[in-house]
Amino acid sequence: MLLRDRSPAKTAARPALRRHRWYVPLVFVGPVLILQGTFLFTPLVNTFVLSFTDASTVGGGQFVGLDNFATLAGDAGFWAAVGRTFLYMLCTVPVIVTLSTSLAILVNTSLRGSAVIRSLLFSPMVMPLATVAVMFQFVLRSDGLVNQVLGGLHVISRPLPFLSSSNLALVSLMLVTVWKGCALATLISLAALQNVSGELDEAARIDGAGWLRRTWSVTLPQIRGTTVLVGVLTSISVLRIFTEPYVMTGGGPGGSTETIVLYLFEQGVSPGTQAGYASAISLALFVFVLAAAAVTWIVTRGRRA
Amino acid sequence: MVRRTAFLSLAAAGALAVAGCGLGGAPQTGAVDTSGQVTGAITFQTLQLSPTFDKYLHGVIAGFEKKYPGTKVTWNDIPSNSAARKTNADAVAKSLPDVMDLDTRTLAPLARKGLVVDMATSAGDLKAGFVPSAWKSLTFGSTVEAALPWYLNTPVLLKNSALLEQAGLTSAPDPASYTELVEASTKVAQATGKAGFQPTEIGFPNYLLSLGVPLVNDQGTEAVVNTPAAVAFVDSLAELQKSGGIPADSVAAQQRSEIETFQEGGTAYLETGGSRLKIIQQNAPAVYSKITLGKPLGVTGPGTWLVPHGIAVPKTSANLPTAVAFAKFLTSSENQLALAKQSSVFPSTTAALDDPFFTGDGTGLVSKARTISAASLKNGTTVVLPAAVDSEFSTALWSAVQPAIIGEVPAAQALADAQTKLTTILKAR
Repeated sequence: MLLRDRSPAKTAARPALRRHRWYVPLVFVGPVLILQGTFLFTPLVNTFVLSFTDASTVGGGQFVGLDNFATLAGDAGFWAAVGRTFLYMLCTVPVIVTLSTSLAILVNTSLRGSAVIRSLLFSPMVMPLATVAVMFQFVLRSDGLVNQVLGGLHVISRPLPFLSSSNLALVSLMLVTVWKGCALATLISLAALQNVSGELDEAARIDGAGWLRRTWSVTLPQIRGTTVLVGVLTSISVLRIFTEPYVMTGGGPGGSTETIVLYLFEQGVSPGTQAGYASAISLALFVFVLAAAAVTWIVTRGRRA
Repeated sequence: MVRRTAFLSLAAAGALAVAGCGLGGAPQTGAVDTSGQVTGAITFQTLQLSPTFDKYLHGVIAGFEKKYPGTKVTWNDIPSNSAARKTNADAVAKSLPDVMDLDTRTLAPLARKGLVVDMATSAGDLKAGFVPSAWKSLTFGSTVEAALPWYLNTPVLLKNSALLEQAGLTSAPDPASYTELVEASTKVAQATGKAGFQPTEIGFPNYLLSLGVPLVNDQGTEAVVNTPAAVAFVDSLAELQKSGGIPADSVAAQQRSEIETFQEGGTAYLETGGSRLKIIQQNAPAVYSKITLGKPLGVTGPGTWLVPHGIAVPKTSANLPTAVAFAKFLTSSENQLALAKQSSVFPSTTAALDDPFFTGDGTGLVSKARTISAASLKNGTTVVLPAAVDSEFSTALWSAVQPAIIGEVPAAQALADAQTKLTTILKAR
């Protein structure tokens, strides 16, 4: 109510406060702004500027206008990487969202041993992605664990080339992404499930609804927002996928696992390559990420309304 | 006021960004004068030599400061795997160390842009003292000699005698070329179920070069990899992939994993520097006990490969006379010989290679390997890849031939694709 007080004394005092204290919020957010400005904003502006130059990784370069973007538009290698990355996203995101939500619902039950299962489920989260990738490289190689198990069970007669086949390599990487990505997604979904109303569930039970019906019609609608959040976060993460292909296949065989970021890395991070062109690629990736987030937001806004 | 502050901040950030990305001023690329009095302070950067060679390098620095009173050398050692990133960042910021130990992969872009002192001009009188292929390996087009050759490495052929015995190849002559290596690998696979050797991304251009494939044209502007010899070789690798003559996961293997495969007993042959022997001895003593040595492939033909490290001086150095003087001092025969005697690398000067240390008839594997590799250097049987064939070239070439090796596309098509892609890369430079 005090804020709505429009007495002459108050209105006279307010301009003075504004004049002298506009900097107070800046004092509080200043340190964060400086850090963000140094490590986020400046590199972003730098990347934007570089994308209009022919600079190499060792510096130099002249402004070349939109040449890099024109080249990018006709770069078959880039568009192949874009297509591959979106395919990666379309295949992994629904699986991660579905699997993590299902796992969260399962471990949310108070069965004996569920604490142990929760720990096991979340263990991939604490492992660095590079470590996970190296581990799976051993697991999936021709004489690795998976081939030995399948061979031992007489499911296959000769080892499957999980990482050495253009058809299988991308699928193998997707499996690793799903394995790793499910941990965090499950944790987020589980946190949302903790807030689901037990009374609604109880009411549905009294009305005679079974477990499946209650889960589908009562529980899942209550965590829809979180599920969408998991989908958005996972989509953005997958669009920037790099570690799995870089460590496990190097983008091969023959570029069959080359994603946008790996393509960017090859074009402009290795010594002597084109930093200007790579900056243009990174800006394109930035637009893709924004677009993915925007589409998801628009779709869910419609549903929320 | 707030608006004005925000506008000024944005303008400052923009200016900083433009300056930071290297567009703030033209780099120094023309000829520079390196003559003058040798005095004052310089910085010197090496790649992963500390702490093993602390005593040696402190000794060299002390010797230089004593020879040139008034000089001060500040030594900095960085990990090898961060050398490229740090050098790139330093080049953009124009803060490269005065004297740099660099591999050719990191040096090449600096040389192509003319950012380092041309040693052919500043130290051309020393050229005759260096191993010719070592000198040639640091030549990058417009910059005639981008660095003074420092330490070198060149391979020997490690053989797993147990596998060769099973394959009936014990008394057979060692493969002398990659074509013969493919033939021997086929026999190894048939008899033992193990692979003969593991092809690698780094090694692949060397394989083609030794088969007479030029890789690039004389000007270094177009790739030349689609030749009948190259097609036949890739076809033979595809056959080996089917028969098990190379490991099934060769195309997906990490760099240097060929050493792990060999020390696990998975391959019969490994062409590598003698320094790997100690590592294999530590990691796999059972395999080490079965190792015999042979001459590197190509040594009786076009030549074997060479890995050089060079000492470069950036043109942005504020003390060029002292920096060049230190580069010469460090790469002198005496100092190189002292380094080689306490390591497994080789000196790049012919005088140092004449030392009895490299011609001894030691009985140990390390000593034998040293003698074989030194002979390659002294006899002039080492070759260097064309300057245009750098890591970017090797990566693109290897990526293009992978589908052919695993039998998904014909070798001719893969090499034609590779040639187109590589030419595009070369023309963009």
